[in-house]
Amino acid sequence: MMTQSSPTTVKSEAGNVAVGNVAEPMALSVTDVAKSYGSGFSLGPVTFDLPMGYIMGLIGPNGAGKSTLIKLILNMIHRDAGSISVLDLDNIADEVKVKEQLGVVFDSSYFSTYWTVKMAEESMMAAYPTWNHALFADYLKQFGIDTKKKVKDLSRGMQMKLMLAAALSHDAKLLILDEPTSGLDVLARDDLMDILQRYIEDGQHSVLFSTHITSDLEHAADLITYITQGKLYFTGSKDEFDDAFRLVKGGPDELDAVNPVAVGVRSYLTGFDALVHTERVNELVQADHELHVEPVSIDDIIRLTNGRAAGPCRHEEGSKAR
Amino acid sequence: MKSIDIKQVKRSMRIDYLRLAASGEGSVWILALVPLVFTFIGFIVDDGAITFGAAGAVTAICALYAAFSAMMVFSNEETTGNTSMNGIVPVSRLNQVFARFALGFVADVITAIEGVLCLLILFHHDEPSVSLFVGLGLGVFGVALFLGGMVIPIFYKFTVTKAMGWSFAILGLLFFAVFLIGKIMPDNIRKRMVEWITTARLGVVPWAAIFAVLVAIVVCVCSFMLSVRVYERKEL
Repeated sequence: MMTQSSPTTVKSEAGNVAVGNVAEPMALSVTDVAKSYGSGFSLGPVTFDLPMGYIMGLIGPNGAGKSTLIKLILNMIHRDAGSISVLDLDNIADEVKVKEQLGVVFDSSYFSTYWTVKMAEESMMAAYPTWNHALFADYLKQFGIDTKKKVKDLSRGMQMKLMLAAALSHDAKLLILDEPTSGLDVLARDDLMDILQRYIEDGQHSVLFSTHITSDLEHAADLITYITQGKLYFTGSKDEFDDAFRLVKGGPDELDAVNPVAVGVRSYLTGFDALVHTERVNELVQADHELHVEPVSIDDIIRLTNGRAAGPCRHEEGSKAR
Repeated sequence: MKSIDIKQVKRSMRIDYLRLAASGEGSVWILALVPLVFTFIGFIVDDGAITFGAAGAVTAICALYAAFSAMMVFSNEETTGNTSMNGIVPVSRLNQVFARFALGFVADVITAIEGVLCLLILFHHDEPSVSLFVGLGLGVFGVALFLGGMVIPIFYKFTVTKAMGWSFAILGLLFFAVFLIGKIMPDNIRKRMVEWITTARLGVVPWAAIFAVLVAIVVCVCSFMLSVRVYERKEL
């Protein structure tokens, strides 16, 4: 299992870097979790830890298995292997206690669209013994949500905010947010990130959120878990993730030299972008190639570690066809 | 720990009630009060045939309304995008199923009482025995319980559209089976049964109703166990 002890760097199953912290109380511990579908898609084994007081971004392209992982944590689907503990409680054996401590936001509203906001609150009030009406009212006011409106009459962004207000209003120790920013404009996204930052300030709360919008991670995430094609690619601190790779650019003549050490390559008529483990960049530079080495963005890592890597890009294929 | 927890059941029943009342709490009560309309008509007209017709309508509506309240919860839950909420609320699947049966049971009791009250008003001239009304109430309750018990596992297994088709098909098959048994029954046995039913005194009604309720309870217990089994395996 990959522990999150700070100076330690471990290799994941995919042969990639994983980082951990010193033994801290864990908000979430996922150990060797696997799930297969009849369709052929399989997730895992996935292992990562989210300590208390941190925000973890769960990233990966569409269909990577992020939502599957979240559903496994919530015991909405059945895992084939592994174990999951939330706040040191088993997510299946202690399901009810676990869920009392969780705040959840999905990528679409889980409230009945026919309910009014008031009825949505009633459902939450019924579900959570620690429901805080005043806090919920404050969030609604802050988000500009009218309690008399029906959920179906709220915009997608407002529905997300309603779920967020609900998730934040029963003193949940761990927030699990599945694509919470997808319906939000840039201002609302910034507000959300501020709320999440304040939420974890006391060190007693944690957040796991999956997102496609990687700029959100720049603002808020302390830790990153990156899943692609159902496999864990990286888990650890965001800084380690940023430092783990470099973007290497060069002309067509250098491609052969870079290919063996590259994790992923995207080639063009005029050159290529290659993702290379930072510790291997020196090998290329010392070999006297004319290469540009740049820091890499999260989007670059996702782009270059998925599918299109070594092959020619569409533009090039199109050119050849002509 | 797999056990019935009253706190969890209450949580889930409250949420299920909100699902039942998804299109407004008023609609639940308006539907529940429909039997009163027939009672009112029967009471005003005060004609034998109309009164009996109204009594039949009241009994049928009460039984069906109670039986299909659970169906309405499933339907409102799925069609309004509310299913995934079951995966986040702190209520075990066992208790979610129990709560749904419990809500149906409460609806059955309320409508059975309502049915009896309506019949009391309709037949107030005839001064029928208390045991007859209790029997009729139990009859309504038993039918509602039976129908509810039959359909709930189907709704746990399938999506609402499919489940509705299966429910009506199964209930239709059930009635057809009864009809078929009547048809293939030897003449002498059938004649004896018809004779017994037509000559039986009203005093038989409560006993027949108690028997119906007992059968319905057995159906419900089996239905509950099956529903738990299906729902625990279901992926939300």
